[in-house]
Amino acid sequence: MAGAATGTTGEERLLGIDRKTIAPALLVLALALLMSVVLPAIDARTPYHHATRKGDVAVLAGGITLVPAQGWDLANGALLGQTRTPVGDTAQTELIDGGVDLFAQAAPFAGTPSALLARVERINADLDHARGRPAPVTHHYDVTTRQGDVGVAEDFAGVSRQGSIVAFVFRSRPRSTAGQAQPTSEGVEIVVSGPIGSVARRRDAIVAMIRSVRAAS
Amino acid sequence: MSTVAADRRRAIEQSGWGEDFHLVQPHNLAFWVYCTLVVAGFTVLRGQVSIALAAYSGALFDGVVSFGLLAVAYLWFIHREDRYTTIPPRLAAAGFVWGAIAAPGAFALLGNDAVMRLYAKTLGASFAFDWSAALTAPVDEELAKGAGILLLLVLASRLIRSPFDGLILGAFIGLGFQISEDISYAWIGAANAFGDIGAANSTIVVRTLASIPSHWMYTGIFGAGLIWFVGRPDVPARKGLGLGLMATAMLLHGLWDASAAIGGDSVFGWIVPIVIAGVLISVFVRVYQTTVPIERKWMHELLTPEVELGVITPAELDALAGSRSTQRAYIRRQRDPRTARRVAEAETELAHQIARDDGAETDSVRRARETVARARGS
Repeated sequence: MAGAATGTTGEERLLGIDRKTIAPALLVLALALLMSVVLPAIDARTPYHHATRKGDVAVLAGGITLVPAQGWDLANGALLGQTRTPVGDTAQTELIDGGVDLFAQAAPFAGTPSALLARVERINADLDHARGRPAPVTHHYDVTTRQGDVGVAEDFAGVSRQGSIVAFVFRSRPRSTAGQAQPTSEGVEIVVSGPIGSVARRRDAIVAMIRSVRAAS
Repeated sequence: MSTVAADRRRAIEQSGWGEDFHLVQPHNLAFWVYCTLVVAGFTVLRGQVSIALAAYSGALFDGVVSFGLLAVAYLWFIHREDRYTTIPPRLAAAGFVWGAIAAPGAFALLGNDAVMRLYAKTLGASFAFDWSAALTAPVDEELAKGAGILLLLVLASRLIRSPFDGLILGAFIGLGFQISEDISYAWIGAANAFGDIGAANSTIVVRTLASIPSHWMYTGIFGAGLIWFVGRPDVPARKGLGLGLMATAMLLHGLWDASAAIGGDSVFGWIVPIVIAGVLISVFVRVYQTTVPIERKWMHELLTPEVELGVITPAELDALAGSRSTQRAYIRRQRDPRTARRVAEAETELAHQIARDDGAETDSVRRARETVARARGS
């Protein structure tokens, strides 16, 4: 009978381990440590070098934009006219400043801003339940952009972090492939969060960014 | 010992055909590293799955069912193409598990995130938006999957004897990674669309349609390159070719990930991924055609003594050791193709039995010969 195909036979051993197996195994282990420990550590210590400037416009989704506050860092997303990849109707944008994070999620959504916020609340409640960290939220209130679109917002506060969730639904009329205009609805969820105090200090910039959201007419 | 019998012995020794695979090898450090990184990967992925279960369980369920079925289809296909000195199921399973759990969980997830953020931090978010995935994932992910091939090579050095074995094992590892990634994309698709399960199903359709030019092909090419790079006892190392194939796998992976940026707003942008997929499939087929002859040679040498014994005919041997189209054409030419197919199946099983019994004249081999005779007479 053919024998069992163990990797090695009769080699010298070091602490009970076949010597020939040590180098390749350690190489793989080192690669794992590089990717899962060293690179994240380098990332954590590296600051952003490309703060947003006056005139920059972030594209939240096809036809929907936000004007970032000067000096904030665009961690994820596209600036208008500066990317080759077309921004689709489902996209994320993330701006950060200090410990404060403004995250925008855009995706097709057929409903009202209140319905969108209710759906986001339900998802967050499921996640909070799983994590065992429910975060109390305030009542809903309206938020109006400079363009006149009305969204719905709520605030939340945890032990060390606070923030707001704002939901908008924009009606747009992109051209279909057949050349006919077809109305679509695009939902935008904006979550601002950060350490208590840090958010308050940036309140004006945050409000200005949220109010700057607009859909191409 | 006659020349043909010596050839048979050499074919069995060179190919490792008939060897079993045992993962548990306490004296082999590769075993401990394999286990450690699978556990580490499982821990990371479990955190992700718990999020999906809490808020996107419907999308997760759809993803698991759809891509589970897709995995079965691809496992069958890869096993079907590995029809000569077949990789043992336990070795294929160890590769699939590495690809599905260790490679994403212990390597790629954290590594990809870190490197893509570093691109955004150092070169700007717009550059990262276009190119970070294409510059990050091919390197991180091919190395993560390739690390599994290296570990399993150390664990099964007598089984992985040719670049063809690297191609097949790489395909199994790549498939595991692909299915794991597909399932995560399904529920992330729902998460990115405010929990809409329709978005998850759209993702499932798109990922299924794009499943041919994907990880199982990249890692198959990488695996063949890795075996050529390190060499095997009967396959001298060809370091340039090996490095070239590993780099080709990364390059094609990167081009695929960059296809949206390459195409840009052009109305012809949709052509880019089709061209890249065509090149990838062509390279994979070329690597298959280049690596498979040694497997056919081993099959020929293993069964040649059976021709002398009158168990199989020279024409049947040529068909068995030929390509699938050669075998199909041979069967079609016979007066009774159904019988010819049954004979071919029985002869293939005879080859496996001879290899399992290390070329010895055993009762099992004799029974396998009788099965061939019965198939011929039925």
